[in-house]
Amino acid sequence: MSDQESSSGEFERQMVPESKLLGPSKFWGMYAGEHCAGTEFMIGPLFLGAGASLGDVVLGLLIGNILAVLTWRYLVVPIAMAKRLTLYYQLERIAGDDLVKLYNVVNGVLFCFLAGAMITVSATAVGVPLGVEFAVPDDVFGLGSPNFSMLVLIVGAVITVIAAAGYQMVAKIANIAAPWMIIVFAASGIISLGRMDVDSMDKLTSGAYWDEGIAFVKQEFVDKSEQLVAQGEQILAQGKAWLGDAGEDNPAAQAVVQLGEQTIAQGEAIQPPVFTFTHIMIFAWLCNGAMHFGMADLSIFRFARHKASGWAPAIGMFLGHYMAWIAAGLLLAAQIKLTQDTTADPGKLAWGALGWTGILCVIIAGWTTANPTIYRAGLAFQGVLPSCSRVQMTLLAGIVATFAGAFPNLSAKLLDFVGTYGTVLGPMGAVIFVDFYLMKRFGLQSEYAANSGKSNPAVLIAWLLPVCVGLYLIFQQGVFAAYCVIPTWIACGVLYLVLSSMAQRGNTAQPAKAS
Amino acid sequence: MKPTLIIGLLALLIEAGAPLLYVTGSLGLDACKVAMLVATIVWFGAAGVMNFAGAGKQA
Repeated sequence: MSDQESSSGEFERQMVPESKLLGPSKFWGMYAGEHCAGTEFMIGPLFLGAGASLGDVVLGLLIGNILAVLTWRYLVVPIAMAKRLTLYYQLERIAGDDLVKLYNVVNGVLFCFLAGAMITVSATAVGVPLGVEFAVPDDVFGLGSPNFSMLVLIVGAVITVIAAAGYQMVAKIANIAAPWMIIVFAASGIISLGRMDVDSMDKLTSGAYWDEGIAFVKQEFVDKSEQLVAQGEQILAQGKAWLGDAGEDNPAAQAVVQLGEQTIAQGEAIQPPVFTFTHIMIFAWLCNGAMHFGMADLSIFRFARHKASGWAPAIGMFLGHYMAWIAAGLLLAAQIKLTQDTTADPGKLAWGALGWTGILCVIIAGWTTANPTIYRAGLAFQGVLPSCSRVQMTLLAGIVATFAGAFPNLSAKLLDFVGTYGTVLGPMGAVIFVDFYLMKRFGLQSEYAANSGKSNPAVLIAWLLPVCVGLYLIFQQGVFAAYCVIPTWIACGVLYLVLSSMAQRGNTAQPAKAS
Repeated sequence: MKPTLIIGLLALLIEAGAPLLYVTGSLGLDACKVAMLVATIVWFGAAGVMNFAGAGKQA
């Protein structure tokens, strides 16, 4: 492993030198822009759509976001400032080059899906003036209308080409847009309150406007359930009548009876969604699990001169993940009150409250965050295939993201996706945590791959086993995805320690090289 | 302060103030939307000029 400074001057393979360290203001600015994304317009309404009460949202987000900031400050920053290396290089020193390549592929693919959701959000806004409706199909892998799919392709193509050209210009526009966007997010909430006639403090604190929205959403589920049960009973009655006429052995009549019973069971299975305080708090804490528990932000905080920089994520959390989510939730509450439409279509929601400013905000927020995400995915893919150019890999990432964005369920199930994202990538942070704090205390060799020159299978097993269990719980048992982040993180850390202890017993690892 | 900066800050003030005027009933929703759109255009114009001028000076 070479410890040369990269040609880009980003210190990918060496410690950040003292002269390049940055003060806290740089981090505050960066986090403010990073967490006011187009997807915030999607997540806020999803809370209301999932049936979360306003009190739970306000308090759950407050506590969850505080916990997220504390995790950044006390988990990521101490390691980042002690090592001053990127996540990738630290992983390479612990696990070896091959595992980092695997991690890069997984990371790149998940980045593509995230960018896909941002493309979908931007497409909903472009669709408003063109009269293209956004509808979420029942089937998880169902496409939207042909017009909407076409719009996603066009928006995705534009974003991809710009990302491939380098994202300096987009970063500049993002900086210009950031203060404006924050004000527009806040304005969307204020105007929504006005549209719901919330013109006094009493009305504001009563939360009746939000409760009405939840009641309407829940009633939709009850209506759908009753409709299916009634349909099933009708089919069942017809089947039984047919059985009476044609005889008990008639297979066609039996099939109709079976269909009726199945339809009734389907109807009875439909329950109004439940989204509690715990769901909200854990989601707010762990929706960026890959960044703090997963240590991806080591790559950012390695530049921090002072520990106080670790408080900078607070601005992103409390503007983007608190104010913006609540404001976006209010957009849906107003839409339900005024039009009885429960569709969480970011473009239409923003258009209703803010007009063209809202459309611009959704497009710019989606675009300015999808671009760096595609760019990062391209870099992750390039890490696996270094012989390919960055432009080629960014185009590949953009194609995957655009393809993913054509499936509206990806953005409609964003709460589950970001939880899954944290469950998959978060545990890798436990390996870094254990390697930094515990390996030497247990008499084990830290940075095993760098010091022994061999790859470290303990990391691979410790990562994959808990992640597989977590994915099984999420996809097969229906566990809320964000709930799996911390258990998989702890399991990965413990497994890494135990497996390293077993693997290194009797192993003659070489003395540590200077990093 | 530079005039473009003052214009930009005024635009942001209008952007933030229009919704408050709407909630208090001093402004209709359509007027609020128009005010916000104008403020948006002015903000991006002013910020673009400042950025462009900054880049020009650096060059």
